[in-house]
Amino acid sequence: MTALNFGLYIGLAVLAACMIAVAIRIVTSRTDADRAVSADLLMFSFTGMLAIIGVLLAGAFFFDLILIASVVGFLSAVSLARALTRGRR
Amino acid sequence: MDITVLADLLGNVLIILGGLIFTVAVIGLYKFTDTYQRISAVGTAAGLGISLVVIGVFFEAPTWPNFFKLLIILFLQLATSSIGTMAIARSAYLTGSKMRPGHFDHLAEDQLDPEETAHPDADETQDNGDTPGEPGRESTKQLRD
Repeated sequence: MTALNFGLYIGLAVLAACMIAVAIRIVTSRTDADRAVSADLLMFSFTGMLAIIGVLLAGAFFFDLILIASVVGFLSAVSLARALTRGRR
Repeated sequence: MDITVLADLLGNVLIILGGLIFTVAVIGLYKFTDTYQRISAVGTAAGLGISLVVIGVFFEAPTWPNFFKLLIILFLQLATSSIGTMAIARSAYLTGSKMRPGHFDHLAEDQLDPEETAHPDADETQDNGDTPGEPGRESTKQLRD
């Protein structure tokens, strides 16, 4: 880590703005399918934010955290799809 | 110019590019008028954006164990983001969310009984009892048998 980490802060700010906009979209959208899609994008933004925060804090195991977060993101997308059809496959 | 400085610069540029792709996905989420258009925006942009961010993060800490973890993360993200988004799209179609008028519904031809999939809790009412006098229920039962 050198002093050249301007992109990390810019990316963190952009992802935070994206998460706030997606949360507003979840609240103000009308149908359940739009909310599910927005929540999917929120989970992806959270994974990217986790990666950037991990490299800023310079932890030892942050790549493992991203690996687990990607698997959990897939599980959340599938369970959102299941909840959208009220448990019917 | 040192090689680590170059790697840091490349990582920063890739992270900013990933953030811009996420921004494009959010703009698509606001601007598109249809659930399926929003699904296409999110499913295309989210996997690419998260891949660019993770590659940029790898260039900030380039070691060999991180490289193999990066390969696994890239494979998982590029494979599962589209699958998860398509699962959401399938359930959005099964619950009968509206398509923008003016577009042709290709999936409607392939479906045997669109009335059955339009109501997500149809099988619960079927399990509760055989209430006579419902012609719609009888037709779906015959189709299932």
